[in-house]
Amino acid sequence: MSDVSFSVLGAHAGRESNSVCAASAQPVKTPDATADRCLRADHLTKRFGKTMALDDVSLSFEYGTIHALLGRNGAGKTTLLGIAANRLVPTEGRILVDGEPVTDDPCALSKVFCTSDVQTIPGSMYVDDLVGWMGRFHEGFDAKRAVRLAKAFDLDLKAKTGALSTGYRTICQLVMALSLDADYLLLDEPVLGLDAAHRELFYRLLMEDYLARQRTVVIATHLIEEVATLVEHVAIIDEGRVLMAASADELRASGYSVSGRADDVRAYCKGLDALSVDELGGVAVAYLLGKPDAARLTDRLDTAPISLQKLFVKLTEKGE
Amino acid sequence: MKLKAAFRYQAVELVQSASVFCLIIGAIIVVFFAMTITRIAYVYVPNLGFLPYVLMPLLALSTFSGDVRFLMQMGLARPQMIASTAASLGAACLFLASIEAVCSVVFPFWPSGQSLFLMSYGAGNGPVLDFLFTFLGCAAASSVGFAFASLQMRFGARRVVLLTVAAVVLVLVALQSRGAALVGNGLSWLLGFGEGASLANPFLLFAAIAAIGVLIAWAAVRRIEVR
Repeated sequence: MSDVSFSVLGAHAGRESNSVCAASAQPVKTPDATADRCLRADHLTKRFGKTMALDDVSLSFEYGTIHALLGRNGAGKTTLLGIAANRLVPTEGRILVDGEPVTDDPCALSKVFCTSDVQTIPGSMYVDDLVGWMGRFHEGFDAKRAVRLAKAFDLDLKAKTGALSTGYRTICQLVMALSLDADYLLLDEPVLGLDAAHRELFYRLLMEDYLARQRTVVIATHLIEEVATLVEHVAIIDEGRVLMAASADELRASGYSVSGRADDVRAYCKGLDALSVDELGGVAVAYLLGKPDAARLTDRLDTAPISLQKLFVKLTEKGE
Repeated sequence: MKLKAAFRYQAVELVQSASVFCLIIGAIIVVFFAMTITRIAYVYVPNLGFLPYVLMPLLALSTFSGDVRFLMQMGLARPQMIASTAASLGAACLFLASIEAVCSVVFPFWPSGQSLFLMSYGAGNGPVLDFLFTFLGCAAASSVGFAFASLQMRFGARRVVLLTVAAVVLVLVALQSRGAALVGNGLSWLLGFGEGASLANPFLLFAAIAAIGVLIAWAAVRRIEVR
């Protein structure tokens, strides 16, 4: 994470955490109580008609950390972020921001900014007008930085947001998000439609921003390998339920793979709860949770740490 | 700060639309008037004073959904959105009522040819009551549009339209069976006509409709979602 080289694009100086809610001018948490600061889903359930999008989800995104929220399409990532951003109303449970329920609470909402692929910006609005409105709605919005970032991404400020391609619409939202000093930045599929150069630039800017501000960033994605080196905490959700939530290192250490001749691999896995076994010709790879069992290992078997991507795929695959 | 910005965002949009509407109506009246003066043709200028009462609900209906999406992205809470929408619709009504009052003072033909209030209740009532009538009437009409738009967003357009049609049919059936004359008399009384009616009635009626509309919108918006 720290080996990324950074160009200076006007990163903000590190700032103190909000001790006063701009919306109500009421004191909130003490600035140094970062241990208590988090965005927390508390027994969150969301149903759309008969569809259960989130099922009793309890999850915490600690302050000052980059989190990955991983899940397949339809797993409930966007729903979770939608409730955190007040776009959706929970059926049961709640989301708390620094201890305050976020739903329709102006004070809690002022600490959260969420990007998404849901069309929320009027298509007839020009990008530079959007920059202007962001400044009027958000006290901590840096319009100059937004213009600099837009130029870095080759985003046309004179274009209408409705005329932008999918990639540039995403970029437009990322530019706004990275120019805002919200404590909790929720990025839903942040590289949707971005080409390789723009993705790289975004990750670089995100790290630059994170080092400058130490705020909470939640990246909801299914492109795990791309964010694997950035994130410190990972939560995996599937079919509206949390499968795993731990630090990235813990998750990587939570499983391993065993490879070798198919017969040897099958023998190793006998009696163990393997996530899955992939066989090709006479060779097989098994994915298991826990630590390798030294008593079962032979010199014909190789073990390796499981990658986040593999762990995610194996945990969420549904027999296909 | 956010509420102020939201009001500015919505009010500018609505007042701009209302200004364009006024310019178009003004241009139509000027053209008709010019044709009469220059004797190109003797054209009767129709009364266009009812149009603001049509414009306002249409504006509320056409802008509300997009505004909610944008304001939610900007981090506004639902009660703030209700307040901002109601206030900005009120600002547009205020603008239209001011134009109406100014026209009734400036143009001699206005009270007898274009003002819905002065034509219906008498030119002697003056521009102040004309202003108040237009403001409250537009507020009532826009709050109906606001309520309809909120219900549409909350429950879906098809359900709301079907229910509205069903309600209208029920009312018509009830009118036929209970006597249309009775209801007609009641409506006339509410609008300040007929025996024992006061000029204050339409003002109170519009204020009550505006309040009920905003209440319905508030109830619907409380659980509105953007997907």
